[in-house]
Amino acid sequence: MADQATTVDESVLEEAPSQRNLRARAWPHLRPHRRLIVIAVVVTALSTLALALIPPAIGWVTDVVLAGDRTGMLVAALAVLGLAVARMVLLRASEVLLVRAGERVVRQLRDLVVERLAGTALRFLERHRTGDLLRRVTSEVSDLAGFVRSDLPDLLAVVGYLTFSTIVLLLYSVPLTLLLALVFLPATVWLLRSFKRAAAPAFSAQAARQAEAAATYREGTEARELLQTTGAHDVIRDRLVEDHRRLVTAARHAQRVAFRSSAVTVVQGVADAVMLVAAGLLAVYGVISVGTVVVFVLAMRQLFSSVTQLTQLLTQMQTSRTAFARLLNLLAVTSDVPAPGAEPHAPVTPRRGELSADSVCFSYTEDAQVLHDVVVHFPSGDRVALAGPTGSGKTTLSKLLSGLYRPATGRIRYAGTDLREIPPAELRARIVLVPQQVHLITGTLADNLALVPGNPDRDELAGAVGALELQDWVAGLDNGLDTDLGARGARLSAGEQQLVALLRAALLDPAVLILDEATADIDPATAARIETAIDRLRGDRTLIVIAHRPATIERMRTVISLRGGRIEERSAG
Amino acid sequence: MNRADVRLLWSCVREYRGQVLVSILAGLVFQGASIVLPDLLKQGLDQGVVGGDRGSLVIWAVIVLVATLVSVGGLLGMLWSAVTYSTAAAGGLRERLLDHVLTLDRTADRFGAGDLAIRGTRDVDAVRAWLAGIASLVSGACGFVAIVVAIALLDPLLAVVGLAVVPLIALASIFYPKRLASVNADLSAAHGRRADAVENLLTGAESVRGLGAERVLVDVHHRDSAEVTTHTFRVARVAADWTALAPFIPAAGTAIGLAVGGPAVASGALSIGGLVAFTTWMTMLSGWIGMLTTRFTQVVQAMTAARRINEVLQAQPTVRDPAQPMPLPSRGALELRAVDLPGGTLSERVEAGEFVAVTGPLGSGKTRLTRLLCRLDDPAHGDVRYGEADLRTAELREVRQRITYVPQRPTMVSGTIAENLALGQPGRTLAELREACRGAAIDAEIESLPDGYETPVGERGSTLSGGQRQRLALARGMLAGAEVLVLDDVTSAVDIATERTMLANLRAWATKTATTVVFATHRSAVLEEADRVLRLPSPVRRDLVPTAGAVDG
Repeated sequence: MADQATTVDESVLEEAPSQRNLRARAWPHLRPHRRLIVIAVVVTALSTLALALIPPAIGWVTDVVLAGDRTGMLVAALAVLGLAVARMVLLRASEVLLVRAGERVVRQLRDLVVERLAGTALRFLERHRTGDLLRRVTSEVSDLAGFVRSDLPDLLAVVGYLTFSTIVLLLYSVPLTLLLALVFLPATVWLLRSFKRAAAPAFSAQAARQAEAAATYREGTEARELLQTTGAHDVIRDRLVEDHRRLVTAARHAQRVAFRSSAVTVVQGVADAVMLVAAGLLAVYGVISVGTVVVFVLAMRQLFSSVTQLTQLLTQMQTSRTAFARLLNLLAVTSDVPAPGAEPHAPVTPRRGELSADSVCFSYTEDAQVLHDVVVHFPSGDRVALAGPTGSGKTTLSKLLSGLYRPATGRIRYAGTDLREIPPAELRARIVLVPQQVHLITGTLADNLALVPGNPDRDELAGAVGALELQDWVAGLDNGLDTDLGARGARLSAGEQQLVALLRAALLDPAVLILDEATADIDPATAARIETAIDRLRGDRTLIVIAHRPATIERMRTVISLRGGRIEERSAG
Repeated sequence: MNRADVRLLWSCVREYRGQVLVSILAGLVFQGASIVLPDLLKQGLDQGVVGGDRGSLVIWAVIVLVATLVSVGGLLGMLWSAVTYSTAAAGGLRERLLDHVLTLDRTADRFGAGDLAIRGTRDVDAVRAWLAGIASLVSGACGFVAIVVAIALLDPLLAVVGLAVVPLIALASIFYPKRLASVNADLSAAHGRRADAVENLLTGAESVRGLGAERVLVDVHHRDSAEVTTHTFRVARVAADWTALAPFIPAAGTAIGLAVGGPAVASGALSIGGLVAFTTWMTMLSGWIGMLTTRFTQVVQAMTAARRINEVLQAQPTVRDPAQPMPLPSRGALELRAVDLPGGTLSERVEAGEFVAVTGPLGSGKTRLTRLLCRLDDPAHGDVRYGEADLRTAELREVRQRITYVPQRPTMVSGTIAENLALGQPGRTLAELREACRGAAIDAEIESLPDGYETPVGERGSTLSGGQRQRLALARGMLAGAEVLVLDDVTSAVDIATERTMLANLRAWATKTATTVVFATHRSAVLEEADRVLRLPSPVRRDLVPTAGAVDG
């Protein structure tokens, strides 16, 4: 377990992950929907069968026309019409069914990947650009959905059509079919294989360049005010222009690779010419009927356009395969995240308990260790301030103590149990961390307060507001709890945003509450009032406060000083 | 269909008109050669097979081969040109979006960050796909007409059958795109909402996880994800109706054509080869319609995307350059005249070279005030003046050059520390960077890093602590060499010893450079260091003044 945890903490996503065994890796995600998939494929097969039977029906028309049979002509023409109707009905059913099956798979995948991102190590998220992760989970997933919606039905239709046409042609004339196969197959297969080989790296590179441009664009829009106030628009713009230049190069390379599939059309031209001569000679010598020649000429044209379509679809599929591989890579890297719902076990830890760190070391990069052999104990009900200069490792320690980071060596325990062995939901019920940076969602104050486990109702929200004596502040907002806070809480000041975070914490009853500069942006008078309220709120719980403000530190019973990643002293506050 | 959306799409085409034209011409070559092929085969069948002439069999076979080569050449030319200009145009469009977003003020917040990202990626991609398909659409439409003409030349009666299907197809091509556009817009919106949900989960990870709120956000995501599925099914049903019906119309036409053409062959008006060519062309017709419908779908999707892109491009900031900008006076007092703050109306004057601290209880508008001073926002009432000139009469760029702002939570762009320090002022020497960092009391920390000033800061400066980001931003602000430095609580995340060093250095630097400093804070050390403290009154209960908004009104 410990080893596994370390590997996950260090794992990094690949830009262009391998596409080997993609089908085998996809199977577990397809399995739950196999019945629907089978039905969809069968209906698709029937719809392509109807299409494949149209040339023979026309061949039949030719023969009866040459025989001068007028009734036969009408019957044969009606057969063509009947096939067209069958094709229409079946095609519609097949498309709807395929999308139904495909979308179910994609939905399950996107829900799963979100579960994984929610459960994966915080360090994992911090190591990746949000833009890249977001692209994998949003636009690449919707690309995948798009493939399933439009390209997958076509792909199956073409494959089915090629199969049925071959069977029909064999029934008409084995030697001609063999000749066709001889002229057409080896060259086509060779071209398509060479295409496939070169396609994976070329399309991965294109996707990677695209993700890069998306990340830069996104970074630029998010750093808007910074760029405006520093007048540095050009820095990001130049990067975006450079990203785009590289994207064009990658796209052109990918297109050159795709041309290999267009070369198939040349082979088709050769086959056309050879067949005209061969079938023509056979008919001239009376070996086959003119009707058979017609069937071959017609079927071949459809066959060829199907192969061209197939190669185009393979190109599309390559893009989707790349996105799919990137998604599976994300799922594989985060595969240690337990499935949700498996949790409601009996709790493994008591409601209150001691939190302790033993010989804890931690580093972000290999060459710079942030914490050295930290040993510290917080008995139940303790009131501790963690003090120390900026960069002494206080915030890192708070993330370790709350289980958001895992120590490289050493142990963090709650009530004697290693944090790694406590199920995530239970861990969070025991230890809550309020960092300085507050995350607000676009919506009302109530929406934002409800961003805690346990689905609190209005009374509980009002209760928390009362407990922190913030009734006046809430009453002062436009609509009280229902005040719209704007995009990501933009209408609140930094201090007010911190009030929201503290209110959220007040809705919970953890054994250990860690406040990391959680009142730093609030004015001293209000901060003092709230800190006292939090202190009084639940006497038996452990409160760990990281602060620079002397008044905040003075309110704590004990002060632990950190310097250069080491515990320096522990004193009564 | 909005005129502005069409204009946006058209502007992309116009910019690359040469390459678009090349692509279309190559597409026409491809179409021409492909359409003439059935006729060549017909000649081969009639003269060679039915007529029994072996020599002409070979001649026609060679001609068929040449026509194929020409058609492939056209196809390659079309695709090559298309990929080049469409990728470049999409990049240009994304650059335009970024440029415009960077001129916006808080109006940009109207779009969620995730949604804004989707507009710059997925929607731009939709426009790119449409651009790449233009040649195929235009030449395909020409090909379509050519096929109908070819059938007419074969037998007028068959042409009647062929033409009979055209209005039906046209009808379908008018009805379905509209239907598809509306369901597609819903699907796009659903994808956007889901992206926002993912975004919330990813960006605030630390704060969300500290409270254990991931589950709540995951549930929100799953609800949005279910909605995406519902809309996907709806789109699929409309699309399936269209895909099934579109090829059926010409296929039915073929069947009727055979019933009509059979007797014509029997009476000698039509050859067997002609009948074959007719069915081939009818098959091509259905293939062409399939291709054209795909292209029309792309047009529809591009229109939806263009509307969403235009929403951003047409968003107008309220904070913007005046029509006729006046230069700011060379040096002067910074003045607020009758500006509304939560605690009431404020008029205040900060003299040149003064060091003023602004403090006040929660919600009293400290941040709002600092944002007004450098014109990140405009006041709803009253005005902000520099040396008697209203900031709104000067060019924004000049205001921000003269008045530098350092926010409470500074952001960074990915790159090195040095790049971030010199943002907006390329060409700063390492010595200058060092000096500024010494002023902000962060030089020692930077120099202790293995890569020093070349250390990457990570996305949004994630590898730095909040206090380090604040000090780097202060160093950046000092480096900018403005006349006024507006600081919003930039010592809130540093320890007291560091704060003391920062303040002493800041004071010495401000005196030396004669810089005016306005410092919003509630830290006592800052209040002590300042020449003067401006205390903002407590917010007036807003239910008494219902018109005043929280920040931007």
